[in-house]
Amino acid sequence: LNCDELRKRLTEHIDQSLASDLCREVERHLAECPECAEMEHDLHDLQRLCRECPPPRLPKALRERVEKMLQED
Amino acid sequence: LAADAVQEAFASALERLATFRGDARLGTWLYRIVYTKAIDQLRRRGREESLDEPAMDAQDATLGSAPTWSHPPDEILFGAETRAALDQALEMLTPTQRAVFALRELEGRSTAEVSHLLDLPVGTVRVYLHRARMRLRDLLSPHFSGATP
Repeated sequence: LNCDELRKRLTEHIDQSLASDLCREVERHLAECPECAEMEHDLHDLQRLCRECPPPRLPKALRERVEKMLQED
Repeated sequence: LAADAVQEAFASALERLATFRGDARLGTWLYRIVYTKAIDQLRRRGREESLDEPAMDAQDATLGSAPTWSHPPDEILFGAETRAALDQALEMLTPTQRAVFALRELEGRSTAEVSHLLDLPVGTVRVYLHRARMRLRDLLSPHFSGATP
């Protein structure tokens, strides 16, 4: 795998959905290529950021509008 | 836009509740209505061009070129501030990329569930997810790098 080919596979790799032989190839490349390894690390950080962020809240005005609709129905 | 779509979707769901057959979970059924309404609204506002994305190879050539984060994001920003930065970056995605990423990464749904919810093939979901992740990495990278204490 070259770097371009590997980067197209990164999403499947971090989702653990690659076939085992391809997964081994990806891991071999990551062990030898600091730039691609850094990119994978960043994608894991992005996942962690999403997990640790407070969940989005429905804006108060919208929540009130929806609740009013439900009461009127 | 989001507020309009949610309100319109709830109104539509209430009208169509009698037609809900229970084949899917109520949340899945409602999510599909909201998603469809949001896409309808984007089309009405003439933003449907953002749904047509460049070919994978052409777009991928510009992705992943940003510098790597100098610190893990959670060491730099916290809580609402982090949420705001992420929300701002999410706004830069196409509607479908955003929907796929939000369901997968913010709601923790599986790729198969996202495929079912958005009525997209699993392979297509993976392509959108890949593009969204790489785009967000590029967008958030300067932000986090620039926030070095």
